[in-house]
Amino acid sequence: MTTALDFGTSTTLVATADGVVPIGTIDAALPSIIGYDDDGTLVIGEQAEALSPTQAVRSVKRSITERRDFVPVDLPAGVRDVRVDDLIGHLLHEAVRRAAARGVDLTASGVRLGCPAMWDGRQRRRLLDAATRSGLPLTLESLVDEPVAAGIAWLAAHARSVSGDPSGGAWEAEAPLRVVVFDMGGGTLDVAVLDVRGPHHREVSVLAALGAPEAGDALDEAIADDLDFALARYGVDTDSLPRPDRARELLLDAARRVKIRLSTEEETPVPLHRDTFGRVELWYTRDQLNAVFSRQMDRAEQYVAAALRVARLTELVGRSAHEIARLPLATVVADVDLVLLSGGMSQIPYVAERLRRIFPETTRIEFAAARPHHAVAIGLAHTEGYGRVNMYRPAFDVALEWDNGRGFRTIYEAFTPLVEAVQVARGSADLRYVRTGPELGLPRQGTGILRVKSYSDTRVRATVSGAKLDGYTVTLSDSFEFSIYPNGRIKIVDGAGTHEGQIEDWHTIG
Amino acid sequence: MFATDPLAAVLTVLREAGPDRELRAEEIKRALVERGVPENRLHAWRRVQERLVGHERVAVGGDRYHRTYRWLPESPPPTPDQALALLAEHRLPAQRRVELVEVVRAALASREDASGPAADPVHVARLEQRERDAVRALAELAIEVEELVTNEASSRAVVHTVRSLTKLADLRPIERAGEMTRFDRTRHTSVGGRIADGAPVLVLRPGYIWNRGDEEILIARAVVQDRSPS
Repeated sequence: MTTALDFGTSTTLVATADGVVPIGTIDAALPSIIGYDDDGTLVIGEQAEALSPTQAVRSVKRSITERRDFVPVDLPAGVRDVRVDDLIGHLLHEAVRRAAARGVDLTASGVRLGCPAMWDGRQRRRLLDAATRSGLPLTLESLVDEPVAAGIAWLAAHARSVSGDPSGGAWEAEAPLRVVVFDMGGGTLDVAVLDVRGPHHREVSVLAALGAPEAGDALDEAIADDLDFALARYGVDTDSLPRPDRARELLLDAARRVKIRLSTEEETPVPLHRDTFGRVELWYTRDQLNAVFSRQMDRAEQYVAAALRVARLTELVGRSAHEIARLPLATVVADVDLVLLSGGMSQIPYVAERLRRIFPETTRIEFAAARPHHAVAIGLAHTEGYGRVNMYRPAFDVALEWDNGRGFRTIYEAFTPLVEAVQVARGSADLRYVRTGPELGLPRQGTGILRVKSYSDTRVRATVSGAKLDGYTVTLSDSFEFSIYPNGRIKIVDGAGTHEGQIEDWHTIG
Repeated sequence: MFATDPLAAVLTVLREAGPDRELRAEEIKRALVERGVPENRLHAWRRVQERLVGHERVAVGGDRYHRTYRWLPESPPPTPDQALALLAEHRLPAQRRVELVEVVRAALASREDASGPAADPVHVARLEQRERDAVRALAELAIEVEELVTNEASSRAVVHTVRSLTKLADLRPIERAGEMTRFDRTRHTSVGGRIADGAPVLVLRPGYIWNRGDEEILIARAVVQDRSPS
């Protein structure tokens, strides 16, 4: 049985294929908050919510994204830097403990842990190390890209209508699907482009995955600003109030609540405290919310377009980056079959409205799961039987050995992006991952053997000049160069010439 | 025996009369006297009489003033459904309630053993979570209303907030307090006497329908008062 652990920025969820397993004391989720109380005792989850902001670490997962090793925490001895990985380990251990109390053993095999698709190998290993120290029997193969999980959540729920029951689905049984996962959470926006194909749509590939540190928090601030202006029209100048800082806190709280309420209502009264703002009754409408949200959604659309352009690089019949960068938006969205909304912020109706405007009518826009913030956890629990390939950040190392294994270099480290979005945006002519002999400090003569180590459930089948990449012998020279292109093409330049190859497991796109 | 356990003595009388014979109170008292119970002790009959109602081996017939009592042959224990119906529909003696509760409890336990889900801690956790979600939704409603009232929000704001929150629980309101409408017995209930369908009524309290998937469940009818011209 596959069990899932979704270590999210705000909350941590556990799920089995039957659904989410409650591990919170109030909600089903454990709040991803950790800190130390006044006597230095470690406090996790709901209890940590009661700590002062300086005693608690919220969104600790973001520290991995931002590559921070330490965070400042207010301890009895004063403010100290605490190791991020230790805090994550404690949080995951608490999730393991609570799941065990519910009869779910996360220390058994078959556990899947989600991670952002944009994380590289080093970031993934940090999470993995923290998880294994918490008793989770994980390897890199156990980590699943979160957008892939969200896609699988939808596919698992719609398996019949998509592929098994032609009358219930809009697509042919085994026709490939191009899917965009739009995951807007509390702190980040993640956009991934997936290719789904194979019998029963069980082969899921990540073609592109981009992230931006802007989501719910930014909108709360924008709404609070708008409420501030609205109050000014009633003669309430928050800057002139005795405690403007407290007034701002109240406006931010009101903004969060208004945002949630307007997911289901066209208008809502703004909860304003009479003692602070006087007797003002303010109403806020969905149109007002959409207006302050529009600039953020403009940027979100640009991320969607950028991700779709990066995904185009996987086409075998390649266009130049310059051409791809100049493709009109209508062209890059044209072949998208499905947009899946994931994360709490995607429940704001304006998100779907805006995406509806840029995608063709034939593109379905749906929530990845009935509760979008549960989509990743549910998808992780259904990964059994789904092939998963990350073509944007391939899940394998390529290493070069020489001198009977005494010399060794990793020439491609798993999960390193083959190209950066900025390269596409700039129209760079040479879009590939490339490393040269001098960069790697390789010997200038002799022979070496290439080794491939996979970190996914899917074996890597790659060939060069008709021979397997794993075990391929190269002639070392000053001109040594190893390249992987986004469409799976491999090019090796060595002392004997230029050798072409291909990663054959990747879907043939285009 | 009657002095120490009057119920047991009466049951003996009924049992010996057999299941085919209904006895009136006078006949039972006479039988007790014939068995040596002093007449001045028969005042205990009133307490026994109360305990015979609902006794598993006694059928009580007749009307309030001419009750009859008949011994019931031993019957199989009630099924869990029968036990549940008896518990729900009758005011039973404590001992009888305990026995019936045990029947229901045993049935639930055996079902858990056989099929597993109720005994499965994950299943239990999910059921508990559903309960917590429902209670929390109620608490959130209470929190919002108290906050609005404290801040002297308008009735429009209070009603709007209440209806937003009930909508999240898939509750659909029936009418709005204070408005006039036409009586509809399927959606309204009268605070007073009978009201003819279609008669003008004032809504005193709204009702709610629960949209549970495709199913519509009437949770509460709107309470109305007849405002027909007299």
